[in-house]
Parts: sequence; structure tokens; C-alpha cells
Amino acid sequence: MKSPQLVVLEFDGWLAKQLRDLTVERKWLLREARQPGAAKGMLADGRPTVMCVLIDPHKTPPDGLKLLAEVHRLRPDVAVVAVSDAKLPEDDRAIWTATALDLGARYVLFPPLTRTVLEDLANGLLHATIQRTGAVVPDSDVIDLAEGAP
Amino acid sequence: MPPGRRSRWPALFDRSVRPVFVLNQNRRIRYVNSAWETLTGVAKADAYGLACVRRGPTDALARTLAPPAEAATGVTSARRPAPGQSAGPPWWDVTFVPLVADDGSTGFLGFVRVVEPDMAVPRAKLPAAIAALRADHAAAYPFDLFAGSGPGADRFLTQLRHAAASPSPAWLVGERGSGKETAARILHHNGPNKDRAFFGLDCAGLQPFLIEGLLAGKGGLIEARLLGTLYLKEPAALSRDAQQLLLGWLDGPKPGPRLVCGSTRPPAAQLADHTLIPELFTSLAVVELSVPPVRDRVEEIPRIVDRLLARIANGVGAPPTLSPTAITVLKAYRWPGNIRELADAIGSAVGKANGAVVAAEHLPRFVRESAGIALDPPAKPAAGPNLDAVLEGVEKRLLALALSKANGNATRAAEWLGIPRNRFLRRASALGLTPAGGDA
Repeated sequence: MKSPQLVVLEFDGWLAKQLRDLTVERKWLLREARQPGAAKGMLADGRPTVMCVLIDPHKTPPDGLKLLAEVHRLRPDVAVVAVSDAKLPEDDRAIWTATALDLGARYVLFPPLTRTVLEDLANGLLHATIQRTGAVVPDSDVIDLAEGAP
Repeated sequence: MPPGRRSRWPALFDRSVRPVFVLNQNRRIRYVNSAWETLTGVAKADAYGLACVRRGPTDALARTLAPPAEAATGVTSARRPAPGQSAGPPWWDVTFVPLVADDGSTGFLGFVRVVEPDMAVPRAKLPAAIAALRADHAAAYPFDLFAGSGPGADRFLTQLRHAAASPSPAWLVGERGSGKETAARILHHNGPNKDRAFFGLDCAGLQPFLIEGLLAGKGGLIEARLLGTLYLKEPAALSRDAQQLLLGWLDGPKPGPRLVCGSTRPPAAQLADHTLIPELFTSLAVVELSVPPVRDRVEEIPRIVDRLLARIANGVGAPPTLSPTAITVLKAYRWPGNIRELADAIGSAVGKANGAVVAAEHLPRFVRESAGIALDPPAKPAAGPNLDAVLEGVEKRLLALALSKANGNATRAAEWLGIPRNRFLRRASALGLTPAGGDA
């Protein structure tokens, strides 16, 4: 069985820090990437995955959004959460949210970013991914191999 | 028109979702259909005889439906503010088809189309690179993805084309991994709402407050009217209260997004076991399409594999290729996990082939076993604990635990384990476990 993973693509480690306790508690992998190519490489082993991508709406070329679209086409089972720390007017935020969703994001977050919301998102989406992909994940039921042994 | 059938044309128009009306030579309404009644809010009995002229003491509806002078010479369209509006939006596009009698007098057959303002994601606000990215992404979802040679594939493709042309809600039913969301994307990117955004809402993965934050209220995507299609993945995964809330949010400004649902079980079955509320069933299960599983599309596996290989190459260099034997092996397996499982198997095989032609031995062992050509040599007895035996023991105990929790019911045991029922049954049979009560 491959353990589920949270892949975080950002430049400063803030998102990963918010999600570290959750991954420790759930025994999931937390993998951090600084480059889109590295983040994509982390999807190669087929684990149930949720990916959090920090996007900058004004960055050219739009690496984060490009990665989002690519992941959606290559691994549609991977749930991608697009996160932006840009403070935008309401109309612009709606337009960028719609754009990211159209490219395949499962959710889009703009400031204020809170740890609770990030954890709820990652937890819910990863559980749903595990269910959908049929991955077997250990839970609290202990399998005692010695039981019933000759 | 055959004799005796003259009275049937109103029934034909009555079934039309497009508002239709007929004016006589005096520009008075002689017929309106049900869609016209719904649009205008005026009953047929009250509409008949209404003079549709643009001058004089007529009401706004009559002025909107009045044919222009040039309409007598040929088919004419006019865009007018909806009745009661001094200016659009919304507008009505009214098309007049002249009906000329023997004596030269002219009546009109009229059609109405409501024109809402274009609420596409405003391209002016998006950089050109992102607009191009959206266009590329949309182009990745042609109808061809479900093209095939079998009758089942033909039927599904025809249904998909018809459903794409209509804005009605659609419900996609199919096994896990069969491509329901891909089908929903095809409906969106080839449908009338393609300029607006597609949103695949994971009902099982998002709590109601997160869904509400994105969709509802001021600044939400529904009010901003930026969504073209809202795809609800497994809506029955939401609690009944949350389903009711969702309906309330969707009952916002019109036209709202097109609603498409996807589920592994038919909506009627979910209604029957009370996981789906009747209001959601009535609103969303208008057109039901069954996405065929891969085992029903065996002849299409080579084409599906070619697409998957092209996807793996991602436009960089030539795509990897598969040997004919590998294709034969792929066709022999039943693919309970459907396209998703096939994609995983191809991805892993391409990795093992390391640039060479993908051969049968690169495919996963369970796939080769199904074709009767498992080529791996039997494992040599290990000096220490035998890992395969240990893992098999764990798997057997886990399956037995699941069966005991589910009182011997294989379907519930498979659900508890989060694996497809077929996979559960296959492994249980291989490990000598028997689910109780004919469930298998």
C-alpha cells in the first residue's frame, strides 16, 4: 500500500507549515516542491494525492495555472487546491477563481488564509480521493497477524 | 400534410422548449405554445386575439412581438428589450417567418429567444497567456474521447452530442474511473456555456461551509454568473440538509450554470435509499447517461491506450509504443477500475520499459495473469520471512475483518475497504474467502 500524500508547491514553506500537523496525525506524506517540474514528478508513483499550489495571478508565464491544467489532464484523480496570497478586489477574485476551477482546480483560496480552512480542505479532499481511487489505508483497526496462527 | 392530421401541428409546437406564436393577417395572436406561456406569464386564453402592433395603445408584450414592416418580404429577426424593460438586458430575439395565403395576405410564425448578457469570464481581464491556456485546456475534451466502433459506444456518443446541445441538467452514471468527469467536461466544452467556467465540485470532499464560501452569497460564483457548468460529483455524499442548502443557492439569478451530476449508482436508486432528496432528484435527473465501463469497450482499448501514451508524452517527443502482445494482454483483463486503472497500468509499464517498446512483461502481474501469461518466475524460498506470504496474510485478514464487519456482505465489505466490489471478490476468491448469502 502506498501512503497518501500532500504535495505542496510554494516558495517559502508557509503552506507546508500549516499542514504539517495534519499529515503527522493522519500518517500521510507531506512533500514540498519549489518548482512545478519537481511537483509533477512527485505524482509519478500513483499515490492518492492532494496538491496545494501557490498561484500568483499576475505572474508571467503563469506557471502555477499551467501546472494545474497539466495535472488535471495527466492525473485527474489528483485534487488540486489553488492558493493565492494576492489581495484582489471581489470581482477580480471571482474571475481568477473561475479561471482556476475551469483549469481543473478543486478549490481556490484567497486571503484571509487560515490553517483551519487549509486543514479542512486537505483532509476532506484527500479522504474523498482515497475513497474514489479505492486505495487501502490503515485505520484504527489493528490486524493481529499472530491471531489464529497455528 | 396528410389529410386528417391538420390539427397535430399545435401539439408539435407545444412540445418545443422554444417559445412559438402565430399571428394572423391582422397581426392578432392565433396560437401560442406552452413555452411562450411560461416565458410571458400570459395564459393562452388571454393571449388569443391580442393585436401585436408597435403603435397605438398596445401593451409592452404586444409591441415586442409586433413584426417589422420588412418581415412580410422574408424571414426577419429583431432584437428588442424584454417586455417591461426600457432597454436590455435581457433582450428578446424575435424571428418572424411570413406565412403567405392564396389571397396574398400575410400572417407570421414567430419564435422568441431570450438573450442574456454575455457573462463569459471576461477575457479583457485575463492575460493572453491564460486565455490561451484555457483554450488549450478546452480543446483537450473533444467528443472523440468516447468515439468507438461498437454499438454501445455509438449510442453513448450520440447521447453525449444531444446532451451537449441542450442546457438541461444531465446525470452521468458510471463505475469508478469510467470517465464521468471527462464526459461532463465534454458536455461543457462543446456546449452553449463553453465561454464560462467549468467547476467540478467534489461533494464528498468539501464541507458545506467550503462549498457555500465558493458558490453562494455576494461575490460567490453563482451570483457573479461566471460558471457555465457545475459538475456535482456524487451529490448524494452531501447530507440531506446540505443538499437542500445547495438547491437554495442554485435557485439564484437566471440563467444559472448548467448542472451535471456524476455518480456510481443511478439517481433513482439513491432516491430509493434516501441518500438523495427528492427535490434534487427532480431538478437534476432530467437526462440520464450511462458511461460505459472499459470492459464493454474492449475493441477501443488500443485507441484509448494511444491517447494515454500521447498524454504521457505530453507533446514532448514521440509517444511510447506498445507491442501487439501487450495490447492483447490489456484486452484480456476486465479493468474493474476502468480508465483510471488502465492509465495507472500504462504509466507504470512505460516507466519499466524505460524508453523501449512497452512489452507484455512490463505490464502489472495481475493484468498478465488474467491473460494467462504471467511471466515472472515463481519466487524462490527466502531465507528470512517471505514478504509475499506476509502481505498475503495481512490482506486475507483485512478482507476477513471487512467481511465480518459487513456481516458477510461483499458489497459493504468492499465499500468499507474503499475498493471496487469486483476487486474485492477477485481477491477474496484468490485467498479462499467466501462472502455469505449469495452476495457474490
